[in-house]
Amino acid sequence: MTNTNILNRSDLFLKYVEDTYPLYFKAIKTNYDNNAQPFEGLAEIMLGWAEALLGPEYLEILAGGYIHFVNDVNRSQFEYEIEQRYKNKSYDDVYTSVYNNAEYMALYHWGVFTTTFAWGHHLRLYQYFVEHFASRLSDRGELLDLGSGSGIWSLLTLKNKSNWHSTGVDISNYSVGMAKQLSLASGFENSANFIVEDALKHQTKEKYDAVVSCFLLEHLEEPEKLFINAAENIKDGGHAFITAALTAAEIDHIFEFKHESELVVLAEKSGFRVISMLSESPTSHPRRSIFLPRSMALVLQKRTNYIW
Amino acid sequence: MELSIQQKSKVSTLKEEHILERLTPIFREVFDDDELIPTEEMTAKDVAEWDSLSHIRLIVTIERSFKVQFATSEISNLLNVGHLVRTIQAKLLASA
Repeated sequence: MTNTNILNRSDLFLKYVEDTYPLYFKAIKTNYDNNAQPFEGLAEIMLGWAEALLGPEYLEILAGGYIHFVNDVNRSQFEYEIEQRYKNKSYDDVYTSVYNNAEYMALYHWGVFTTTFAWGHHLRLYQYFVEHFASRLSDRGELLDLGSGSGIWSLLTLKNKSNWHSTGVDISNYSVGMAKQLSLASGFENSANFIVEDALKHQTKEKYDAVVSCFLLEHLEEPEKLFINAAENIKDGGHAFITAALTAAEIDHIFEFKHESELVVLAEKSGFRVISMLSESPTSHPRRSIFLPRSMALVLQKRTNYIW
Repeated sequence: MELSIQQKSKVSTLKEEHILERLTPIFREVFDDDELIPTEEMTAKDVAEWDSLSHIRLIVTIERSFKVQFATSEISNLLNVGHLVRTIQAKLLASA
């Protein structure tokens, strides 16, 4: 935290959570203490976007969404430990309770948004994204974001590569609406475009220079279709950044990835070579648990021949 | 109206001290501490292992044991063990 009397946005966020939800503050504070510089760096960017969109109540809305999301995740994970399988198995199972529930989606999106910097393993994923994916991109290019949600990863790419243009594709009207609002709030309204379309079916004449798809795979009944469509949309030699959750239960996670190698095989079968990968987990997870929730990121390159 | 024997039995299980008694083994299991004695004044600050993750484990275990359901807002706004006991009591009374 800063030593001056003027608190920056990450200080204000930490203080708000500590005062309002002390039980939930411990994990965020541990993350902050272990990663102060990257935490402040990313939190300042994202909290700035949220304040521009939500106004003075942004801390209340973000913290409320975060607490709701954490409760849901922790409840799902504990029930997963008992039942040893994800609660829902199909898109139809979660459509009414999650994707078509505006109140739930609002809390959900701000919860996910906040975990990007508030969870240590998500923060490390973002650092990896900057160092191993964004750093490989040329100065200018076209990005495709499959399953763009609230637009976080499109906008973070543009924050790192300001001359790029992005197209975000998501099947949810609500998510696309939020992504458009967030692109306006972040000042990327001229370089970020978001459209309502099925990420598994999106096709254009011109192929993209790079693809991102973050935490969509585990929401799909047939995740291999996402890898295949990503490969079809990307130029030969282009890079992709794809992430997924493994043995990490949430109400809308329907595909249960158990091993990191499953993702590697899907990527290789779809026409990519794996350049680099990272698998991260929460440091505070109980050791006696059966399942260790992980977030995995793959940096891929579209193959031009059988080997690479 | 005279209460039946079953109703009288159910009402007696709704007393705060009885609920606290039933909570003791749950607290000990969730926080992995056989010596733990929950009191009405106890808060998360008094138990080293009580964080957001163990809090949900506590709530889900209580839900299964008492056959009640907590709303998300109730889960995040509990003040202390006494508040938890009274919330459980209100839910049991509503279903009695």
